[in-house]
Amino acid sequence: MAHEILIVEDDDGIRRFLRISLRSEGYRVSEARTGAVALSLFEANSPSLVLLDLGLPDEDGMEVLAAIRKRSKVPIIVVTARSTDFQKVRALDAGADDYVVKPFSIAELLARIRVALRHNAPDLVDAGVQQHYRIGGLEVDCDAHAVLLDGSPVHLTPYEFRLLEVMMQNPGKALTHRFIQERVWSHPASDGFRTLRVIMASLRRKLKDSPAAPRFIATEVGVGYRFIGRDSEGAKDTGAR
Amino acid sequence: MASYEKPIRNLGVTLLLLLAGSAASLSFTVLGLESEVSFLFFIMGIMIASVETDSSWWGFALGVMYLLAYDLLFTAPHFNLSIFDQSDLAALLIFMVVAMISGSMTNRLRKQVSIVEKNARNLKRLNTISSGLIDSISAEGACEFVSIALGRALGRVVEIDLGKPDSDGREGKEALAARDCYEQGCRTGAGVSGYAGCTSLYIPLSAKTRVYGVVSVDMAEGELDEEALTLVDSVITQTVIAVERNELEEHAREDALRIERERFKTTLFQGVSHDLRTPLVSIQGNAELLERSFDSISPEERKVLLSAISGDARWLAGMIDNLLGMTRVQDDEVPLHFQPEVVDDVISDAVTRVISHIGNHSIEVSQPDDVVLVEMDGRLIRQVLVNLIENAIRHSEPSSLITVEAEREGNCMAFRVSDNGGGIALDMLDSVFDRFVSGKPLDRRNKGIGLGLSVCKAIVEAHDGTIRAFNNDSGGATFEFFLPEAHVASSVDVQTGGQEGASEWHTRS
Repeated sequence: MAHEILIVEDDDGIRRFLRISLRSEGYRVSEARTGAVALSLFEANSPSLVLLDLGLPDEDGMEVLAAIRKRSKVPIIVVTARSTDFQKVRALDAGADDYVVKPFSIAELLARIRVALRHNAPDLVDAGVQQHYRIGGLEVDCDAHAVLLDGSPVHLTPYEFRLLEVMMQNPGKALTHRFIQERVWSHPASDGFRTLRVIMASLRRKLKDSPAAPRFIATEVGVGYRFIGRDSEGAKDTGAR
Repeated sequence: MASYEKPIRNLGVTLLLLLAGSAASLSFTVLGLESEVSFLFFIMGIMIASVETDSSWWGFALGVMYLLAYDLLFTAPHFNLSIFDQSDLAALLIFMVVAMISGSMTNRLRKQVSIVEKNARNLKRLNTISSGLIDSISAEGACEFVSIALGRALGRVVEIDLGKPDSDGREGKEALAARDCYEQGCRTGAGVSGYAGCTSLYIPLSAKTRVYGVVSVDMAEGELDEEALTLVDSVITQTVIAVERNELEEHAREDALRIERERFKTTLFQGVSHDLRTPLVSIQGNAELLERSFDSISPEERKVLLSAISGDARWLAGMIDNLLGMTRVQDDEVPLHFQPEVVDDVISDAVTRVISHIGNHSIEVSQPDDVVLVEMDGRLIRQVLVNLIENAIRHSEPSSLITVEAEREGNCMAFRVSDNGGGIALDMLDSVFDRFVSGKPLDRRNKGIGLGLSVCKAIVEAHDGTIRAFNNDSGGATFEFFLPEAHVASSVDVQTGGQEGASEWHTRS
């Protein structure tokens, strides 16, 4: 069954262009121009994903985000304008799964939607925390604390391992520094996430992530990090072959 | 100690002169010379005593002693005090007068010398403080310097509050005295009636009608002498002049900055509106063309037109990024968001942003050996890197190699973006970062007012860094920027270093 996507966007032009693009990708689309309509449509249709513009006229997009989050774990991708892109970190911390900044490329948005839908698939959600991950040349055994990169073992410190674990538990999602900090250290950072950044940098070096084309962890300056697991998107294709 | 030394020295000098006079007188008598010669010698001794001791009484005493000695030793009967005859009395009187005159003359001379010396010392102190004040570049700096220098000269704690003195760290009476001093522009505190119990003297730092602040001098060790007060007054006058000068200079600097900013805004708007129009014209034209004659255009041509539209749109988006970056750097109201960022992260984010449209160019990245944290506004520095890489893409031949590297150089972090595609014309090297200067792009699509590079310069300078461009050995251009020491913070030993420095300061002071 095709996924239903709820578009919450007040600009007619952008909404039309989103509708056409998403429909042509085979999604069903419902549209809301205001926060109030969005919430009632959300109740009525229970969409598989919400595309939420943070700059709504009647209600702060953040409030709509909070209201939806209260009811459901449905993936939410927020859309922000460039001049107010400081909002995106707040939105991510408030429970959004991902963000795009206007003007965005439709290819990028579709990729984000695919990732969000895939990781929200029922079998994955129910599986909860996995014990064994295998993504694009990287194998992680959480019980044994063992990491294999392209078949050869990588030695990680406990914090590096914990960091990698948190990243792999949330593949494809933009994770804020705060989110990662809370999961790894379970207390807030007092050093501007200095320690987190240093350990992340050292982890990425150990994973031999090339800065020009990282295989596993991508940086989003001012936001946080994203586990990209580059090969996972192509996994389907490989399987079909 | 010093109070005992002087009388002992005076006594010594007197006794020595007595001995010398007696010896000389004895030898004169042996040689058969007249007693007048001895008397002349005594007068010489008295004059020496007046010069060498600090009171004419010593000379007078020596005169009496000479007479007694002479009387005892050389006039018959020997070793017996005979009654003074008239000539002895006359001699005694002459001795007294000589001693008085020479004593008072030398004392006057000595006083004058000590005044000259004092003046010279004060002048030297004043001069040191004045020349320090000339070098000061801010009113606060001038006051800080004076409080230290004057404190050292007086051996007291001197503090200067610019503006209304805050009551922090001052007790009720002191705070009240400081405030009165500032508000009424007159001396208050220790030694001034109505301020009993204050331990500091408060002197207004004022000129004509305006009070700039309050100078407080610790008086716990007693009153200041005349000399010290004169010094304080002169220094305060100098300080007021320095404060006034610095304020004027600050105003001038602010004015210059405001004018510069206004001029910049005007140029920016002119440049931007022109530059935004060009891609818009192209987008509009291409879109209308497709709209009107979609079917008559071949699929290949359609593709060309469409990719022109998306290319122009992307260019416009980049332009907006740069404009926002520029406004953020220019806007004093919104401070930059400095945070420790790992150099790897910023480079990686910048490169992944441009990699989708580098065409057939290739990018090589070399990172520093260690994980280095640099205090920066990460998004702005990322934008500098994106602009430099896009600039390299725009200005080099197809299939060029673009290298991005970062390394630690001394106390700076150096970032370099190089290409091997042609380089910069020599006459353009100095002006590439100037607003809206643009080299000749390789084709029409690669338009640009050079806003990108001037944004880079503004951002780097907002980080107290420097940026430059030069032609490299591989036949291309290199853009290099440094983020300075203050903004480089290694992940280790930040705290211990600071504490050691502090304790060293304490032991030294």
